[in-house]
Amino acid sequence: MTEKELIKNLRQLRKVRPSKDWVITTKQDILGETQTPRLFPFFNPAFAALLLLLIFLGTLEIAKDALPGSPLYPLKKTAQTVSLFFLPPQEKAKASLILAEKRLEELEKISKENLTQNLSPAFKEYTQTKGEAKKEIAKILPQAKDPEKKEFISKIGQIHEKEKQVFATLQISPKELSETKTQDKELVLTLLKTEKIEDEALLKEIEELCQNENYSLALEKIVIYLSKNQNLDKTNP
Amino acid sequence: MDKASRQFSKIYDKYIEKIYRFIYFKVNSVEISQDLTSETFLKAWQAFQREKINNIPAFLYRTARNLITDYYREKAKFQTVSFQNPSFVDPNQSPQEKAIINSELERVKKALATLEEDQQNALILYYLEGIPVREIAQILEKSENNVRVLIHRALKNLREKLTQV
Repeated sequence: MTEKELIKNLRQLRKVRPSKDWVITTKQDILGETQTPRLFPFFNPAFAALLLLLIFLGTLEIAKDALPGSPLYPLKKTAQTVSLFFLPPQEKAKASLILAEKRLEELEKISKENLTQNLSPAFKEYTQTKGEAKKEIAKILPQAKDPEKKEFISKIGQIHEKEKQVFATLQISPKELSETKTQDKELVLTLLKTEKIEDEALLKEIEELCQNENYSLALEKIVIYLSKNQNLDKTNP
Repeated sequence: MDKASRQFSKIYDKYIEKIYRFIYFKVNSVEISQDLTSETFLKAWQAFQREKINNIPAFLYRTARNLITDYYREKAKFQTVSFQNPSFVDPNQSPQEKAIINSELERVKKALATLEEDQQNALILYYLEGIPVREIAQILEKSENNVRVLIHRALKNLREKLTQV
């Protein structure tokens, strides 16, 4: 027998093993307890946490398409609100506007699909989000630079246009948006202070609208004027 | 099961076969190997609950060696031939192959049992269990060079014994 063969034979002696039953019963005897077979041997705290995270992410993914009034909608709304919370003021204002546009899209979808039971909560969500967005814009507008102002005003204009179409389909009067009156007022006053409006007739009209507390229409007129004239550089040389 | 039990349970699962084999090649009996192996782990479990064991395999092999020594001292080196001698062969091999392998391994096993204790230990730990020289040195409480010399001499002696047979 060569040395190589001998080593190979020695390694083969590894086949000597105790019986499995004896190994289990001895372990139980030593540790003094019966080990009940676990239903899920792989289930440990780390696995549980990972599973929960996956379930949460999966639910969040499903909730992405949820509409106001549906059970998963609060989850979607919370995720969006939380993501806004960590943004700096400038970005927060932009993101709030985008969110308002999304809410309007939801309202449009509900209108197209004729989901009447979702209409009321969707309308409420849209007015709330739009109000929040205007509030955020009013906060940052005095310090914003011209390109940003243009961007905000252009976006507000787009939302107003889209809103008109959606509301026309739903036969909703803009007056019904009374919930955003405070925010509209705040934004109108900010724009009047920060932007230069040279059209005297328009200024008079806006003044009358404000006296009648029709801030939504006043805002719309300002936005249309500013979008057309793009005269923001006059205020911020 | 508490934390200590869980930790020891893992140690048990990792070393039970190794310790059993280590004892089996010295006592050549399934029953006695089972008794001494369970006693080794019982002592280890008691020590584990009492104090921190720095080198678990070294502790287990040392305990097993002491128990084997005690066993031979008490029985005056009486060896029991077990009725449950394990077979070394693969069940899928032909009867002829099984017979050849069994007889070859039986010869190696018998020759191994005739070696000095240190040489036996060195061969079992190094070739059977695949433990590195550094760890064997800790288990046998010898220097690494001593262990290397032991392995070399043990293999040479084993070959000679097999040639003589």
